[in-house]
Amino acid sequence: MGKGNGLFAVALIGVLTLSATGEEPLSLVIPKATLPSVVTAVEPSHETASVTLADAARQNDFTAFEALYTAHPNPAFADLHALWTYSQTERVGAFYGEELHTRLARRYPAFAAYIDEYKIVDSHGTAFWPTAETRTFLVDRALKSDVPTASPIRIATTTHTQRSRRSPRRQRSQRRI
Amino acid sequence: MKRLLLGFALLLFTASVFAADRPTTPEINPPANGEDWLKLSSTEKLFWSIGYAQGYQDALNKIDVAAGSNSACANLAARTERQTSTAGKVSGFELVSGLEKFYGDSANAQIPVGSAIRIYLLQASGKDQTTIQELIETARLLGAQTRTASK
Repeated sequence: MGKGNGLFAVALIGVLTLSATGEEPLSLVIPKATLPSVVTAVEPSHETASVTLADAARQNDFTAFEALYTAHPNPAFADLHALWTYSQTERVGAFYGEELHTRLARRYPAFAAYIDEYKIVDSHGTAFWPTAETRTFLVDRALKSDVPTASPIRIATTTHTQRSRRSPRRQRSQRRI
Repeated sequence: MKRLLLGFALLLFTASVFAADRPTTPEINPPANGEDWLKLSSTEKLFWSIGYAQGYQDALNKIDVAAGSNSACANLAARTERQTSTAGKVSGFELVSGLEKFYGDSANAQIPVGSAIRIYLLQASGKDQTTIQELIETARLLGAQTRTASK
């Protein structure tokens, strides 16, 4: 009896030692029937977000707007594109002066009355108008397809703001608006 | 006892009057990030920018006054002024334009306005584009964390 107990103790110690030496437990075996069946296409289909020019304009996403407009230019958004590009490239692009204001007012009859309340007059008495509110106006017109059919007007813009700051002779290019 | 009761009633009345008055008290918070910034009108943006520049400059000048002209604080203020103050470097019109460009990328919408201004100033001073992009990525993470924390 004492001998049997001794053997049992030796066997138990042996088993414990083996399990403590780091032998990996067997992985769980799952029967195939319980696994979900997957029907694979050639590539998994991802839903693509279809952003339009109007969406990008409303969400103030110039990067998306620029990419979309460059890929598929839409005449209804031509003025908006030109103005937004101006605001993104000019050093003081958030505002514009008398010249552009006059042109926009001539092109859109309701514009002058709309933008008047946003006019800003600086310390020298010079009037400026904001690009952001003008963009809102142009988005509205583009969505209503209320854009004049006449060819877009032009605006002089500096091509390189850093260069223009150093040089008294500003390099100008014609951008359509 | 009567006086005590009267005093207690008066206290309750005053508290209720203040509590009722609170919702009607006007309150405007400065823009925290791009989302807030884009809700402002251009006039608001312009005057905020001018006020920001003036306030920043005034605060830095006060460090000099309070801590002494040759103190460590004054030196720190001078360095901060050189690096991050907008006053005397960009006009209000330029700062608004810079922030409009910065927030023209919708991925920057959650970046705090203070970080956006700093990045814009570095950009305007000709800092290399790799560093600028790293700063933008860090600021985006910061903005996302702030947003998650505030929810």
